[in-house]
Amino acid sequence: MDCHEHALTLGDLVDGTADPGAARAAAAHLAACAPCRALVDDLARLRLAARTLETPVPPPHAWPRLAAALEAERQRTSRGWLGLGLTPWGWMPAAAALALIVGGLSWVGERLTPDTLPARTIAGPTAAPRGGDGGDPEALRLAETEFTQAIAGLEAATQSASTIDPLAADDLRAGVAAIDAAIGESRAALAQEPANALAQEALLDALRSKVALLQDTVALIDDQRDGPAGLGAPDPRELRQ
Amino acid sequence: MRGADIELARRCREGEAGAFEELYRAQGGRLFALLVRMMGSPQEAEDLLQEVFLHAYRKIGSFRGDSSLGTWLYRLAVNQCLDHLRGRQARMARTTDSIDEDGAAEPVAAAPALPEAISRIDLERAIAQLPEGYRAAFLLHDVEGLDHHEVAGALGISTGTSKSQVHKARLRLRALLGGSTHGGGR
Repeated sequence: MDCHEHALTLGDLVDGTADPGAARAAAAHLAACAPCRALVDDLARLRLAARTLETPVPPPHAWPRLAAALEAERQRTSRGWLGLGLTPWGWMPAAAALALIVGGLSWVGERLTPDTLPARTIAGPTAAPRGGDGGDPEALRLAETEFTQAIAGLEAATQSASTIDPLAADDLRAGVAAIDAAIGESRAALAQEPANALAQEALLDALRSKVALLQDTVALIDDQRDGPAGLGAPDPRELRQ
Repeated sequence: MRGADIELARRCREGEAGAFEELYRAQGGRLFALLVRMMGSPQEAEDLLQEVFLHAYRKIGSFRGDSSLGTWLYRLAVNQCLDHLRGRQARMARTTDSIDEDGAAEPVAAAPALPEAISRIDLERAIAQLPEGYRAAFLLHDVEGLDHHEVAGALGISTGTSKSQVHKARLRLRALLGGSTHGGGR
């Protein structure tokens, strides 16, 4: 009788999972093979001992530490989506929301007074004539030049937008198109009335919005380029309490 | 049960407050126990536990409920362990028993049986000496109580390979604990 032939069946016998036919054949073998009987006895005791091993438990600080790491991860992954606080898989609704937000800017911009226009903090040009009497057309021209140069630089940086999911890229392009339309309308109004303060503010706000959107796009591209692996978990040793 | 797993995964995916803690409370203990025995160090196990759950956070969107959440997490944990161990040991001799390797038959010898009482400490030490593939299969099946189908899912191997790995692990443990192996054919 070949003991090896029954090797796995002996394991199944120990586990109580052998099918009836194999169990009968193994039992016949065991009846004639003392070493295999001893083996089955040993394996059964080994299995029992394994089941009674103590279960190590995580230290109490493990969850707070993990919770902090998860929060850091959540913040890192949401940074590229205008701080909408979304989880990594939530980018598609974010892209759609972004398009709606940006797309509505031109509509909102036409209805708000200069002083109530939403202020967006951007690290771009800040020069802007203000005042109810209308700004200096020359100052406006200089500010517009600064914005235009900044936009050109950012647009060059977004040429790798193919790294963004196509749907998100479509939404971003739609947002830019909406802002461009607002810029065009403001410029048309200023062509008629160069000192019109409302039109000047609308133009500058549209330019600011475009800079901000492009900055967010560049940040998004950077995040996408890093990829999931690039989301790298913080070094656990740094987070240990 | 599978429906509850899918629901919990959905809540985690949607960022519901408390959902991930619920997942941790349900699975963290079992994973930690596995990681301690795989890594041989509670400290390393704690670090890996963090990594496993962070990885789960990033990947929870890919959970489809084909297996239980527990099995899915075991798979993440074992993969993390093997990556770390293989990096650390740089393919030392004992890692040559890869997880997919069926290997040669265990040697045959007249076997002094296991001692009457198997000391837990001795058993823990012997488990630590198993090759990684055997160790993972043995821990999941004999210590954690998964069936071979679940072990196969967690390790990414076939059910037959799981049976083979567990059997060889038991034979190796028997030899390490004072007996000798038997059953390799004669």
